[in-house]
Amino acid sequence: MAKRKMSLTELAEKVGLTLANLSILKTGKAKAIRFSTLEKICEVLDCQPGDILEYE
Amino acid sequence: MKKDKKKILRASSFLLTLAWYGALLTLGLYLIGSAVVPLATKQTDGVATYVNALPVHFEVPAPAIDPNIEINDGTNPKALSIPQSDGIISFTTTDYKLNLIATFGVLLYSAVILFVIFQLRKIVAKVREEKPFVVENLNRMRKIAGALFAFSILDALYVFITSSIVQSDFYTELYLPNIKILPQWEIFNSDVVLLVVVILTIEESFRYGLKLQEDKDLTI
Repeated sequence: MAKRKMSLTELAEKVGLTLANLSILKTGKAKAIRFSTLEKICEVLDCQPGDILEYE
Repeated sequence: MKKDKKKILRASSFLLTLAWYGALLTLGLYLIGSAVVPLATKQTDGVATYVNALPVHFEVPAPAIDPNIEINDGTNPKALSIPQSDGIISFTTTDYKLNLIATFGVLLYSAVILFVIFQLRKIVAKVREEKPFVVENLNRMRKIAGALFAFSILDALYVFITSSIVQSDFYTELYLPNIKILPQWEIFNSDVVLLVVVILTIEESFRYGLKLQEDKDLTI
């Protein structure tokens, strides 16, 4: 998001998610993500899923 | 939510509201009546008379059959009896202490009924908001189960006490010759305990539903 100079609000608008849901994703509280949502985020940020998902 | 389900929930909500105000009205009328009747009888008869009812545990023993009587159908006469049961004995008395005992019983039953109806109304309200699987509903179900369980014990104790009082203070041999009052301590009202088990089972199902709801809410 920082590289693309995009705010959370702008990303939420473009992906079609609420700010609350995007915040849940960003803070790592989400239990699951739909492929369609992941695809949309990657499309908007022009990145790969591996760039935004990390296994700990 | 489908229209049929909305109608059912609206009907449930209406019935519970009716039950709530009906219970309050009945309790109010009873309390007013139990104050007004003694005052009225005191004016007319010079002494306050209380009209009330007490729950008792009783048995109707088998009638004695003359063994010399022959029944022509060739079979032996069989003794019949009504098994032990709980019932209500109505009475009039000038003793206000019995009235207090009866009033305590009415308040106990009313408290439980009103509490359960109140919790059910809240549960149905949440379901109408399409939020059945919430922690508040689970807690309300547990409260209902707890109240009913406590009631089953208190009710057994109360019936034991009232049966003892009726047996010792009332002229039951004179006025109720065919009834035997039995002050027995039955630890639980088994019907209520079964209901408590059913409610707790449903609550456990709702708890699982809550977990599924949370997983759904946290799936982006």
